[in-house]
Amino acid sequence: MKKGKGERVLERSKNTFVFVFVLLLFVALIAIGYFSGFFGKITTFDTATSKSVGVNITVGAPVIIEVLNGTGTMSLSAATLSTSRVINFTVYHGAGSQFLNDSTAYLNITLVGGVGELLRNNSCTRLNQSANYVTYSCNITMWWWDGAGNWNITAEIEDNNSNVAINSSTTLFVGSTTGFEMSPNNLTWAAMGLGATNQSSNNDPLVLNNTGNQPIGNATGTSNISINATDLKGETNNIYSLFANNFSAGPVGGSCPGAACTECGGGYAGNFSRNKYANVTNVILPKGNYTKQDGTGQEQIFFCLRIAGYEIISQAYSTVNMTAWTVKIG
Amino acid sequence: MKNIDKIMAGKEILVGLMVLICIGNVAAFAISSDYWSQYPLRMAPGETKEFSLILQNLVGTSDLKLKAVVSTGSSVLRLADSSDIYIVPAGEKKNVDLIASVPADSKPGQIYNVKVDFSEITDSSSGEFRLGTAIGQGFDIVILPGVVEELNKNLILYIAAGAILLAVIIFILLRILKKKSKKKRR
Repeated sequence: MKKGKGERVLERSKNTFVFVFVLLLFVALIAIGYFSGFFGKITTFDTATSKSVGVNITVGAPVIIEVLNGTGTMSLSAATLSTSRVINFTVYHGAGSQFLNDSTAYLNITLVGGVGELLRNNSCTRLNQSANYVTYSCNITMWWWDGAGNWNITAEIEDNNSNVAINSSTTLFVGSTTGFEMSPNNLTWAAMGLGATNQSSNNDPLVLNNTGNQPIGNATGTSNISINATDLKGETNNIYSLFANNFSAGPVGGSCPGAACTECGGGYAGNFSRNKYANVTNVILPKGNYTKQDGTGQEQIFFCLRIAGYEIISQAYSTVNMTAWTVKIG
Repeated sequence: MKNIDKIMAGKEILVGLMVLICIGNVAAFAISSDYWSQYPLRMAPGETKEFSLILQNLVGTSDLKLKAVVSTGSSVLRLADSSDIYIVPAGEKKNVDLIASVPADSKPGQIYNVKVDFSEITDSSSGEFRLGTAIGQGFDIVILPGVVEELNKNLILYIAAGAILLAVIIFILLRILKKKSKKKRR
């Protein structure tokens, strides 16, 4: 009996449906490994020297879900102290926290806009854990010269299958620290006669160490270091004074005493005024680890008495009857 | 004093001048701040903000006595404390509270330069004389667009959007009316 047109269409649809269903079933069975034993048998059968192969299958990769940086702001201690900061991060692993490789947990921080300012910590340790979560604790040590601004925090860890998790979503703000120290503890001049000119101090330079993370002055020669000088009064007879504007200073010392003393005049030697801050030009104090004692984070200032006038008398002159000289940065 | 005594003793022989600028125990203090030349304090017109600078005397072996002065921008910045003298014990830190208050008529983008100077107060009563240290902490206060300006800006945007929408509606209505009138004529 001949089938009608409608019946034929229905039958064709049924066949198509059955074919698609069988195809999908077959693909699904392969996907879940239903035939793996069968394929394994074929492989073993084919190989004369069979070896057992262990395969670890972990579900998913680790994810760093949170980086905790406390308040997110900090200030550094001035030299010669370091400042430590504990930063924790939490990792999730779907297969279980035992699959995380602790030895690969590390954290680095990089100063935004800083040149080569990167700190790394490889010794992050497990702080606490649960079935799928582990919190690692990392201790970052910063020094007084580490730059001010925003530091990007990058936390990283691998699991036992070398799946990597990275989180760079948080920052740490480090404020500015401005400070300095100087030595020696006194400035002295050798004995000189009345009318002497261009006498350099015999125990300079005054060495300034930058104890903070702010450079003082810049490479173009703009100085932010100034000195407030006072007159030096006679210690025996204080009617007589060596005036503040008889002194000058500069960052370079010449062959002294004599007119060739760079700090004694011309160029960038500053001349002082009584009780006024005078900028010592071309003196810059960069930040850095001054304890290297190689000029890093240091500056020198040389001092000169330009003239000891004939109007004064022979005696010791000092600041003992006046206010102190003050060296100022910023 | 011993140094001075030695020099004075030699004065008779040398018949000359002795110049000595002594520096006592030079204090190494530092100032920490969240604002500096590259990181200005941002404020809205008419806003008042309190913040702190931190004085450090962590490596010093003696207490520090410092005088604070707002040397630049005293019209917008002042010390919160009644005294301008701060004593920082050796090995410690001390907060210096400041209040910044900018006028309500400040223009967005306007910059106020401010600076606080901290000078070490040296004690010369003992007969010693010192070369003291001072640090100036300067930064800018930058005026941000205020709430009123933001509202005004939004209002202008809303008005512009409304006007465009109205123009489009009128244009469509006119077209419809035109078509209707054409049909009527036919």
